[in-house]
Amino acid sequence: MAPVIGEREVVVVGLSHRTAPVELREKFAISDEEMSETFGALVARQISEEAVILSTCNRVEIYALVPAEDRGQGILEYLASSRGVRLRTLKKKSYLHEGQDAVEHIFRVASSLDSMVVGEPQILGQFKTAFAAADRHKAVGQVLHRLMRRTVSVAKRIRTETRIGREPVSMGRAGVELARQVFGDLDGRVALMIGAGEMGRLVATSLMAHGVDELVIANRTYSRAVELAAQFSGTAVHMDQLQRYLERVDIALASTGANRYLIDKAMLAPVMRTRRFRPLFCVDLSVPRNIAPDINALEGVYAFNVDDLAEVAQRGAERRQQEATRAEAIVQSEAARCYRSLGARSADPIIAGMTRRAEEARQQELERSRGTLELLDPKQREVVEAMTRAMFKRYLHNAILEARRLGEVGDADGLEVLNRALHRQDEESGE
Amino acid sequence: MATPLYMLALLAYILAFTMSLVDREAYPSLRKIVGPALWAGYTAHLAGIGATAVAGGLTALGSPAGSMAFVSALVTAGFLWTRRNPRAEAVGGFVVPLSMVLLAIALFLPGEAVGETPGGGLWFPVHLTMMLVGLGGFALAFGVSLLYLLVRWRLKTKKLMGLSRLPSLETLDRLNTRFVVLGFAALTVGIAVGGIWAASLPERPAMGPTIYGSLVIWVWYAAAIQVRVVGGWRGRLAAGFSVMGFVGLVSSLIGVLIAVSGWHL
Repeated sequence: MAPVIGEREVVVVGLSHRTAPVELREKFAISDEEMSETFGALVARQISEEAVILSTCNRVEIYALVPAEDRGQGILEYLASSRGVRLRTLKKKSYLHEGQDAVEHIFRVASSLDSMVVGEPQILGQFKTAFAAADRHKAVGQVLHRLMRRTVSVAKRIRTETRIGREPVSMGRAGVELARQVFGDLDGRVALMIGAGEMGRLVATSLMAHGVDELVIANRTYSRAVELAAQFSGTAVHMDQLQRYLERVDIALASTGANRYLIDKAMLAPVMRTRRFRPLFCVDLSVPRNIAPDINALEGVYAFNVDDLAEVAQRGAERRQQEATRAEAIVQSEAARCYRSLGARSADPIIAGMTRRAEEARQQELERSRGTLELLDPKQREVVEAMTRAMFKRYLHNAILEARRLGEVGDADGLEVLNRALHRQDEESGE
Repeated sequence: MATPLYMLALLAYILAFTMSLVDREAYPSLRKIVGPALWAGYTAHLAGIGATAVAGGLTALGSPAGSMAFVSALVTAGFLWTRRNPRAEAVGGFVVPLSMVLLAIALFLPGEAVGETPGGGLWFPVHLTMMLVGLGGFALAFGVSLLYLLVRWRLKTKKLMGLSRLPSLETLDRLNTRFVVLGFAALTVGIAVGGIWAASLPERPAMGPTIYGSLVIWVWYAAAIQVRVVGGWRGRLAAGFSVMGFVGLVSSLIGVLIAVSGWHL
């Protein structure tokens, strides 16, 4: 028997960069304005009891608690009809996960194991926003609430216990990591960008995002330097001022179309003496190169080129893949545990019913003996009260454990039998 | 009583060091032993020093074995302070073995104070403690500087794999300066107190190799600080000063121990 949560099941219906092209994904994108309507339709048409919608540039997914016999078909039909796409096309380009598979998928997505760039940190933020939106629309009940909270904690565990998000995978991050190896913190550092090449701007953006305070831009065409300076809130300088600024900055990036060295050993040696050998981190992103490689021999100079950065990024990507294998093991064990606990919680209404009926029976019995109890002093009455409560608690203990166990294995029939048996027992004893 | 405690400390340090070599991701539980093992070793180490002082008085700490054990404890304390920064954990790769070697040497050195300590009062304990703190500071600066040179070499030769787990050059340079300044300040106080103590004695002790050695070391580290603070030179030069200074210091200490079987003539 497939485990179900009571008479319901957790499902994931969605399409992502792995299954559908952007032309199709954009048709299913659900904007903030459309959220209310979508949640309303899912609940009103009794397609799902609870739902969370995650809509990003790489995926559109609906996490829902649906009637067990429906198995998410209702969501697929609703999506196809509301977006004017044939159901067959949608089925071919989408995926549907149920039960523990669905929980595993949700954990994988939130932990960035299913992302285009494995380990990227944005997805967890998007996930939390989606959950908050669903909560605002009152589309989240007990089951999805518990599942979403668990998802966030699993994603955090994976980020803490593995290095999945730490290894650089882009050229920009590779530049930042190398600069950090020299300077530690990049806060308050000054960078000089020579030229306006695409790669240079990419690395400069990354450096600025990681603490570099000031960007000085030198370009052959001064007006272009001014333009870029406005874009980066930096300072534009003329190319002939290069040497003067090299004495001041901590980081130098070269990304120009020039086919000669703009910085060489003869130029930099006196600069380093003036700097008293304060570290200078140089990155040459140009091809042909603009920074002479032999400057690396100078004391205090750490020079890298585009190949070095690419190698760091490549190694980072390989390392992330290795980490993804470890993260996958965490996802599987956590998903199994979470799904069991969701099942166990499905017994909650039945357990609450049992407890309520037991309390009613206890009150009836106390009421029946009220005449006798009134002869007792308040302290003695308290003892009787506590004793009867303990007796009923003890009587129900094994039944509650059994109900939880049946819930964990998803035995809805067993739960029903237990419920009826106890109910009948209560009625008989009541009669 | 001190010897078994030192041996226990040494075993705990060996355990901590061995576990620190294990791959963090593959065996996270083994890596978790490092911290508790270090602290357990350090507790036993301090207990051993306490036992030495209780059994033989403060002069016993001035014995070759006592001094070595004391310096080793200072080195470990410096590392325990440094490793609050997770990326500086790698400093232990150089500093903990150094502490282990010093403690192992202490186990083979004479534990008795060489000769009677003339005079009285606080002069001798302050002189001794400051000299040993100075030695500990220079030992830590040595360990940090070796790691600096390793990281620098890897950056220069572009051996970048796994480099992000090591501290940055800036962090190591800063730590080196702190430990050198600490060592130099303690050494200065130690020499000054020793001089005052010697002057107060009815019979002045003769100038021996230890005194000359201490003065040479003082001049060396004074030059290192001068170059750093006034000249603004740092990095490889500062690391080189620390490494060479400590190598010279240890060589002269060994020389003194062999030549005179004690600290002073």
